[in-house]
Amino acid sequence: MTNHSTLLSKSLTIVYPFILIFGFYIVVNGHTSPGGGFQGGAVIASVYISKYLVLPVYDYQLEPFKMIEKFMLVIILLLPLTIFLFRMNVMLPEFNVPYLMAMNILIAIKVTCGISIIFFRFVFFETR
Amino acid sequence: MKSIMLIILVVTAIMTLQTKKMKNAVIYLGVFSIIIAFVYLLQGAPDVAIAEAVIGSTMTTILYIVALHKYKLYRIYINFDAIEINDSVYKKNNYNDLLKSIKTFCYKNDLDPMTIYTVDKINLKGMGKYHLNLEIVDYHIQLSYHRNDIKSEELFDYLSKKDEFSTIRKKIF
Repeated sequence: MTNHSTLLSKSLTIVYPFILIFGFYIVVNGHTSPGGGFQGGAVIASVYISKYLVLPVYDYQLEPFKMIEKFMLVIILLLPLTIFLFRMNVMLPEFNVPYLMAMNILIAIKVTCGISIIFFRFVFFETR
Repeated sequence: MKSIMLIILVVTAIMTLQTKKMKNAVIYLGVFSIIIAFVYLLQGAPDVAIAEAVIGSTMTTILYIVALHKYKLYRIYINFDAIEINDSVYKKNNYNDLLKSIKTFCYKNDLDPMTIYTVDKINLKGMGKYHLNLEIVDYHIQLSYHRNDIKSEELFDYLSKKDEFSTIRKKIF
């Protein structure tokens, strides 16, 4: 990937914000329309991946990504546990939709971090 | 509509298998993913279709192209002097055993070995990583390789641990 094309970089620069908005749309509307945390997270992660096509330079800090991913795993485990333990889904049924949205957003952040880590590890470090 | 898509699916699958160039096969695989995502959509599974379109056609295509870019052959040059090409010396220096050991090492490390027999002197400075030069200096087998070449270093360690190649030497350039 040493010789990058001007056509690709120019067109991807225009497409970036639309991919991001589409990803957020999939995540936030995951509970009513098709999509959800995993699909939206993968779409948002593809922004990072297509940035590699435009500019194949390693200027990321992967450590924060790893920290955020582990932290998200803990929250994803704890949030449903607390909600079902204190029977909030029965006591406060009006909070079910925000709960689903929050879970979708958490899963999206985790998937984005995970796929970005996998991709950049593979591209920049895994050599023979 | 669905049957047309399924026919195109089979055609792209066969094209993926039948191409000579790996890059073309990767592109056909991306087309296959897009079409199968459309088939999922027609079957009433938009969730799966989104996941397939994003992961199957975007990420795997880019990952495969990067992997193809990284894929390199491990070239082994075997240098003969003109005098050395007779059977006794050939057997004495057990090149065959050596090559067998190198090949086992290569298969363990997912390398693709390619042996090249030459009589000419190879320009060592022009060789990058994943090039190995074998020659005989003062009745000892000598390996020469690039200084950043980690795999060749591992290969040298692997060979020098064996009894029959304990006299092996290395030369780094």
